[in-house]
Amino acid sequence: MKKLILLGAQFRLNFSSNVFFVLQCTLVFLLANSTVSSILYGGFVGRYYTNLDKDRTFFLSSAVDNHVAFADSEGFYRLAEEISAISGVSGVGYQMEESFLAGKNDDTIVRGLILSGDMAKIQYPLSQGRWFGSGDDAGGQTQVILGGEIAGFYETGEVATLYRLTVTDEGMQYVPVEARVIGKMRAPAFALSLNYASTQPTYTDMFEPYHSLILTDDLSLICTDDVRFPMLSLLVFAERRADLQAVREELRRYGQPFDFNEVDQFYDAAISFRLANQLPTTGVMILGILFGVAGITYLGVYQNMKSIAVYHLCGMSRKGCAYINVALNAAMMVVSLLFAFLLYCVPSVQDYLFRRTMFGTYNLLFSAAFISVVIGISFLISYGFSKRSPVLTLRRFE
Amino acid sequence: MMLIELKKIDKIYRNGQQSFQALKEVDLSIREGEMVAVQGKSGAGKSTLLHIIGCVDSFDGGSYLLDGTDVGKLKDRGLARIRNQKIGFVMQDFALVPKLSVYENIAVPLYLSKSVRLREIRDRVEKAAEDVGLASQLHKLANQLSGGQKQRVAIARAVVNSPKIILADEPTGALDAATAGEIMALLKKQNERGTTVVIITHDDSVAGSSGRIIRMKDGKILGSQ
Repeated sequence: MKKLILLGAQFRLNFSSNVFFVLQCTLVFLLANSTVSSILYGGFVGRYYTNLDKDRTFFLSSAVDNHVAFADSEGFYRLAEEISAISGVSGVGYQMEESFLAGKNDDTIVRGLILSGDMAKIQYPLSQGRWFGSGDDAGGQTQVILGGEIAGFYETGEVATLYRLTVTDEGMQYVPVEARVIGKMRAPAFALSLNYASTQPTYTDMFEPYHSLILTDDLSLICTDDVRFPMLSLLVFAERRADLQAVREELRRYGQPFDFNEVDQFYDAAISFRLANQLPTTGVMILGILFGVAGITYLGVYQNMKSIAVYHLCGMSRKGCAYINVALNAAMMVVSLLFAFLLYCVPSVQDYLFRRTMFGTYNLLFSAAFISVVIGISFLISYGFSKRSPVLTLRRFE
Repeated sequence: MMLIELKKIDKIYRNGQQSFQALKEVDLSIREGEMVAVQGKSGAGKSTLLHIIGCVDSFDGGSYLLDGTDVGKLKDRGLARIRNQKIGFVMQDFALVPKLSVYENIAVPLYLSKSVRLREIRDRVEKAAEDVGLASQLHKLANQLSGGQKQRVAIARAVVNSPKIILADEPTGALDAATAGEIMALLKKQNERGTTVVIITHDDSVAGSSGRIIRMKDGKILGSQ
């Protein structure tokens, strides 16, 4: 307790510069974590699908765009059936986009992805519950998996009331539908977008982050008068014993097929390119930050030297003198980290800095490493100062 | 009983290839309860001697017994404990933390002492402040005080942990004659209570009010009277 009082006194001695130090470190934590997340973002998205058979799953780029007229729902279904009928193809994966009003959050329109039966075979990572078809069917009741903010409003197993858009005699209306929440997506919620086509598809472009998301495999939830099918691409699944080359040849009639091993290759190349571009600037930035922190620490310790010399005269050991600076800097860093975390939770900061960010263990490791480096610098500088005679230090500061 | 016993103390300052011997085989004994003044010209080694007695500087040769403890064998923590428990410093430039209050400045040795409980601190600080006539100034910041008041704070801080020795380095050097007299009176009062006082001074009147005067020159003690 007595040491804490001294620590508090030390903070007050250079109040303004200490406050600036805390603010700077808060911004450093935000910036550096955002950068680290951004660099490593791709690595996480690339592992988002947990049970994908990469040899036998094709991303059929532009198939819808090439063959289905605008708003032609029937044409879309026809195309899906036609591709399903190709020899060696076991199914076609697609998802309809719909919007719902969710009962406990009924002011907010939530995006919904209604997965076709084949599409639902590929599982997204869950934090709770189970994936579609992996447990009992809840007696035919509609099943949903929630992701993002809306997942916080419901418990797994709970029956949620969703309002789906329905055409009635009185026009378009939201009609309540009950659905059982069978699972929650791991945060943040990402989902594959088929409104995307490319000659070099990568996971980072395929996956979209969602603020709130409802996944379901119940196609009856689509507003049939207003079907929102994917604009550009489809997933195609090949049979276990299919001649993959032959399937690929057939698929070329509809669009550009890429199996997910190819997507991996494009993705790895894109990530390497991205790292090669970002690492030098990030490295220089982190070096700059460390020099800045070392400079501020040096000035802080220098400013504290008179008081530390007084403490030394009054019975503080040399190590104690070094540790009081270290403890002060450590405390300020922890407060900065706390502020950074609180700022991270502010929606506008989220939107502008962390829109495509996944926070994970590596952020904690980076923050811990950053704190350790600052504390190390602080200790080295403080210990260097405390080797001097306190009396000479006092004379120097008079 | 001898409180301070220095035997053949050498102190050499080194700066790269150059070295300077500040103390040369200094022998000095001070009894408990003595009031001793150390005089000498600049560079005579007075301050170095005080720093060694005060355990803030090391020595290169000889031995030093403080209250029966062999100081040469103590490490950083042991030296710190001795400074905290047995020594109080009064410096010419006051050695206060300007942005801390009078109360906080006086309490510093108590905050660093393991034997003093948090709830004892207020009583002891108030008593020390009262002794030096600063009971009503405890809330003020140190940099709001006059030179004389600052030195009183320094004395209060020096005695608040009831040390056996007060080491004063030119305690009146920055003060006018009247204030210097008041400060010397406070130091004498502490000495009368049994605290050993060692004062470094250029001022003959200050030295004259001490029980013994030690004269130094070129790192050696010429004698005492």
